[in-house]
Amino acid sequence: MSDTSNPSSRLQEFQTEVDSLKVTGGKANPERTWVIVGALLMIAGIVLSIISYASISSSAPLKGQVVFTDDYAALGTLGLVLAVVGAALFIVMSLRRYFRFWLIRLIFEQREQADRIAGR
Amino acid sequence: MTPILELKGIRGGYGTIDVLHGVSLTVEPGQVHALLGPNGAGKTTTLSVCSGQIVPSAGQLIISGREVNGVSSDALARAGVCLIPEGRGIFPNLTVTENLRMFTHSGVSMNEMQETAFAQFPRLKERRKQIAGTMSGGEQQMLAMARSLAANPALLLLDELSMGLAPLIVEELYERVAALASQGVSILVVEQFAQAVLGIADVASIMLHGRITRTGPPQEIAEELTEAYLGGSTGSHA
Repeated sequence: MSDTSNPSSRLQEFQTEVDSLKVTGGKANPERTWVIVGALLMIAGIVLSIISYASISSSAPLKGQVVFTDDYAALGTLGLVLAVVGAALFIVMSLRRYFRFWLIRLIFEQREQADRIAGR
Repeated sequence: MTPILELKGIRGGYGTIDVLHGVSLTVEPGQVHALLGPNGAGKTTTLSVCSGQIVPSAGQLIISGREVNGVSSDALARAGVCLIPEGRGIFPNLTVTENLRMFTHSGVSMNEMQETAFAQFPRLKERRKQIAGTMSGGEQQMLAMARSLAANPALLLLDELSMGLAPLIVEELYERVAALASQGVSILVVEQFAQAVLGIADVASIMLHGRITRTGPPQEIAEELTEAYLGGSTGSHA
């Protein structure tokens, strides 16, 4: 324990301690970004799939023209994969947000109840 | 002089729900700042932000001139920001001595811990073998305070010290708080029952619906409190 008799030395010591703190800048709601990323991936994936598969069906080969149906099919599949990954991210992160809030509420109610029983 | 604690436009709360809607307040070194307001105003949440337990979604938490948004609460506690939570935060199933031993993790030796605790609160020495949960509310609060004093805080955050205690005990505890302030410890104290704390505060603020609506000398704030508690709006904003 350090000296309490000299307030200014304690303040200086405190200042040094605060200066050496590691500050991450942390986020209040870390899941929010991932929910948005998930939603964007889902939309981008669906749009990509629709465009790619539509391009395959509408690409009737004309005489002497090369149609890259395999490329469109690959792009469509990539779109589907993106949509599935995006949906999974969206659901998992939404559930995490919900359960975080639910847990806080549970703890709060339990504390309230304990206080009521203890007659505080 | 650099304020020891400064909140600038702090917004934050629990999960997706914001409780604080732009809280700004300043605590100067050695000052006792009383934060008053009715139940649900956001006082405890403000203390949680100050102690690093809740990361603000917007605004700045500045301690001793440095912005520390996102710093871990244990790092802040080790640096000297000490929170005494509402409901005392002691271990009710352990004895007084065992409780004090639990608090030695911050690096304070057991001897120093006991020396400080028993010097500040002689009654705890008499009760050192008693289970903490069987002591009176006032004695439990003394134990919670003793823990924080032994950690030699630079900034003390007190949450509803008077909760569930007899007026005489509250008065005694606030005398201790005043003594601490005179030793240079800066204190931010949250209270629902204003009379208990206004006598020792240097500055007081009224908090309503997640905002500081008024900051000023305790005498002026005392006059405006009734109006604020009963739903009237306070005049000038802080």
